[in-house]
Amino acid sequence: MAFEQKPKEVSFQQNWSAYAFLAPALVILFMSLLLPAAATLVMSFTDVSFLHPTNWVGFDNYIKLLADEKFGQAVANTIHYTLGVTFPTMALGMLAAVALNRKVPGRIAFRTIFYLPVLTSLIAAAVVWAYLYEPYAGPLNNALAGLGLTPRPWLQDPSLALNSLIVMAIWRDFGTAMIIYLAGLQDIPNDVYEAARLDGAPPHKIFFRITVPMLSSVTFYLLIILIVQTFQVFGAIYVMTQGGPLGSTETVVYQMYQTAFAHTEFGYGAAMSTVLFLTILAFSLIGTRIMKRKDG
Amino acid sequence: MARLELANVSKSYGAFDAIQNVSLAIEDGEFAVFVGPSGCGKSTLLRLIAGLDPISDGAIRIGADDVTRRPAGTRSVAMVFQSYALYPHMTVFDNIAFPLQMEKRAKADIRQQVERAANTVQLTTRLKDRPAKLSGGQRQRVAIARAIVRKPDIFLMDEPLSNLDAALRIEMRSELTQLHKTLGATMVYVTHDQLEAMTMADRIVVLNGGKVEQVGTPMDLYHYPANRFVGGFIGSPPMNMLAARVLGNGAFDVAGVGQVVMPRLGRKLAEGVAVTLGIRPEHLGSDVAEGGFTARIMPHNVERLGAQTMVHARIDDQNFTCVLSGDRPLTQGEAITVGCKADRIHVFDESGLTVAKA
Amino acid sequence: MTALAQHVAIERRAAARARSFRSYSPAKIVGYALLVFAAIMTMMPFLWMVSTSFKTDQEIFRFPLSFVPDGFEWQNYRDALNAPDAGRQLINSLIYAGGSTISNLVFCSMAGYALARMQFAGRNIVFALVVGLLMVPAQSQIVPVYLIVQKIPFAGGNDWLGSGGTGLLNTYWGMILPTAATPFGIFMMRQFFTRIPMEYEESARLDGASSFTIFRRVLLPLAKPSLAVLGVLSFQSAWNEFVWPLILTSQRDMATLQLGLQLLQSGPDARWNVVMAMATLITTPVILAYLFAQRHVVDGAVSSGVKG
Ligand SMILES: Nc1ncnc2c1ncn2[C@@H]1O[C@H](COP(=O)(O)OP(=O)(O)OP(=O)(O)O)[C@@H](O)[C@H]1O
Ligand SMILES: [Mg+2]
Repeated sequence: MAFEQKPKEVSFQQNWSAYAFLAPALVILFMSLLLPAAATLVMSFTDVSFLHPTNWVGFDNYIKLLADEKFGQAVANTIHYTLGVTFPTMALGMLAAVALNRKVPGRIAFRTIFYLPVLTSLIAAAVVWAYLYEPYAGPLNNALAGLGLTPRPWLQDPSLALNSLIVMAIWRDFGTAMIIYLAGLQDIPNDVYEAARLDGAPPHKIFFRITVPMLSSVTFYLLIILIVQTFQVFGAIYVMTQGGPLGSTETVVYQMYQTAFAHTEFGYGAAMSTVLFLTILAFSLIGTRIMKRKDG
Repeated sequence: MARLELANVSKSYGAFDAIQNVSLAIEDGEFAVFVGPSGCGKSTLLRLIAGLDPISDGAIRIGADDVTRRPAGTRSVAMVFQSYALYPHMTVFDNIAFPLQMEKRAKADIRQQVERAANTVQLTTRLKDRPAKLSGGQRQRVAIARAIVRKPDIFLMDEPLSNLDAALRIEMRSELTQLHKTLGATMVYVTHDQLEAMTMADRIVVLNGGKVEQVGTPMDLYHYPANRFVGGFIGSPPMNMLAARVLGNGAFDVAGVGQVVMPRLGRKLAEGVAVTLGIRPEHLGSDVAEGGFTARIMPHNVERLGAQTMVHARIDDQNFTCVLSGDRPLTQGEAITVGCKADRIHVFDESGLTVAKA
Repeated sequence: MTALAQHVAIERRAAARARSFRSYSPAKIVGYALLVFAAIMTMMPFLWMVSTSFKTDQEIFRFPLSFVPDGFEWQNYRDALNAPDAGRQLINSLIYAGGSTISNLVFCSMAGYALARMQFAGRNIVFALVVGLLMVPAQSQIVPVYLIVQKIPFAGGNDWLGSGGTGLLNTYWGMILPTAATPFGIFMMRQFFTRIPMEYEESARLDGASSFTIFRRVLLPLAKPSLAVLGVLSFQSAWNEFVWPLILTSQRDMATLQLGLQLLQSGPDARWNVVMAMATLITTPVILAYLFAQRHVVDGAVSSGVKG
């Protein structure tokens, strides 16, 4: 008896239909994300193109990247753009969230207004801003001229173009930051504020000593999302500047698109993509860590 | 309708044994109640019978069929959940009709069956409403109607009254008993309320820590508890438990009381053995009989209810409760003597088992 | 003790009053003014978009530029709609966004349900995979996705190895494919289904319902609020999508409105008023969908059937 094995648990729980439920979604994910990620990596070691038969080229693409001054500039532009967008976006988002987390008259209306740019399509936004920035007949220069100031060629001046794009991106993204911060603020128990207020802390002290620290994990999470998102900027540049003037707004994804689809150097484009992918993946992993730590 | 038999049923969640080697048979048409403290495995056992969870070991038979390996939905078992689990997006009619639709019955047939079931639970006027519009008691009735339409071999009910208020609970208690009589169905009913168990059951199954402590009619359990746990669990207020030691001369030495005459026992206890004496509060009286249990107690709380008077005191630092019949003008801090006949005393040995009387 | 409690209560009420807007301290007024200013600045591009869309060709180049248009020049909207291929682009956009939304609703909810509620070998691995894919940046994959869509076997003149033809390029299927099911959608639906009480499903199982019936008749109706959110998000992102239609289509008659707007704006004889009319037309449906969903997502249904 003692050696007799317990019968295995009856396994009518095993549900074969689960695979049928999962299959379509998994096939799509495989084709749209998993296989591409693997393919990018493989392609980056080849010179695949429409123009000639494909060869293995080892690390040639990556070596070429290291020496490619245009790519260097694209990386520098992307970093400039990312930093320029991320921090003001978060600051504005936090201010808006803190302001709208209390019983302000019309707070739903304010919240909706601040969120509208997020809803707008990138192309519509880009087109509208291209008009606002228009050097001769655009409203911005018109207003400057009206005030007696010098009009500027916002998107045509290499020293201004990237920053002009940054302003537009902040306008489009701070609503996202606001919504995430509002969710974070809702998690802070009211008692904490009341205790601080009973201790006689002035509002600005409460903001910097309580609100900001208690939002730190949300802030970090948001930072990661925004970095990942702005790193991939493409549409706005495609519509507004095409990477110009003088390559001053050429970013990594835009250059990748050009390399792959204008010059049909898919292998070289894939190498760029891999570098971008690994960078973004690193940020995403950090982000998930933070999110996990916050939950746990 | 069918007989339900569990043979050496066990269930483990990882290393935790939720149900341990349970064997019992519930007869055709019987109203069986599983009772026990929270977490003792009542719901688990019910789920095993329903086939919602697979069992780790043993066998389950319904009628002549071994259903151990059959998944839920093929066992001819209906269940009323503690939360009722009424589909919020369906009307009462659709809720009740759902099991019939699963059987792919004809529309007209379904309508007729639903109406009959609704009639049984007196809900014919609410068929078009959503569950959210109903009161707790009405929702519970919909859940029962949904079980009735299936004409299952066995009804399972997991604490169906626990979400109702006290008055409604008592009303529904008798309605359920009535329903059982009308349907003549085999029912397994789970509760942690021993009063519900006593009033409704043909037979009670007392569970504790995943094991069956005792199976029997309510009065069996009341008069002849198999062990200390059942003695303490069945009956309200609970049985008084006193630590005692067997003396040689046919008596006990009870801590905090002194010598007590021993009832005639079916088995001889060695001198010096530690035992527990159990005395039900309602068996104690102030008209002290000769040759039984007598104790002088100092009430710290007296509840005069008119028909009876509850006296709370402490013996050997344990709660000691007496339910005296009639209204007694007692006050707290005024010592009284209470006692009972020797044959009212339950004796539990060191391992908690009842030492039967001769 | 009661005195202390009272004191605290009074303090709290005072604090609450100080926080509420009744008291008009100068700082509060400045703060509110800033908020209003920020809202106006945020609205500015939209306001210019709409005002320009109603201006005549002369008004646009007038100096100084006036914010309020002289009148309503509906002709701009007619011109935008009459632009070459505009109707075609609208249909394309609707098919693309609608198809992407439907496929997301169907596939993500099915997969989410399986991951939340079914027992099967490999469940944890699949879930880990979905969470992992959540982090893969889609836009950096344009090159391989293009090649995969092009090499789908048996489509667009392809042989079984996927070569010889154009695959699913320039088709709706190809455009929808990259966003037909997203890790985010699956994750969101799984989280939702996990929160629905188990009893609904168990009760249906006891009644002999199959997995698909349970999903279709019990869980999907309960998931309506989540489906609404997923639907709006999917529609919005597909409607606004630019990159996938750009790289996966090359024929004019497959372009979406977003591509059309870009073409309209970058064309040699672009007229700002017509471009803005088009932008207004494109932006409005998404904003309306959002306003609709904001009110729609009210969820009392789930809690009413299961209590305790
Ligand atoms: N899925 C599970 N995984 C692990 N342990 C479980 C699981 N289900 C139940 N248990 C454990 O099994 C024991 C019995 O649970 P069960 O729900 O049957 O108790 P119960 O007698 O119905 O209690 P109550 O009166 O509170 O409803 C509990 O200790 C519980 O923690
Ligand atoms: Mg239970």
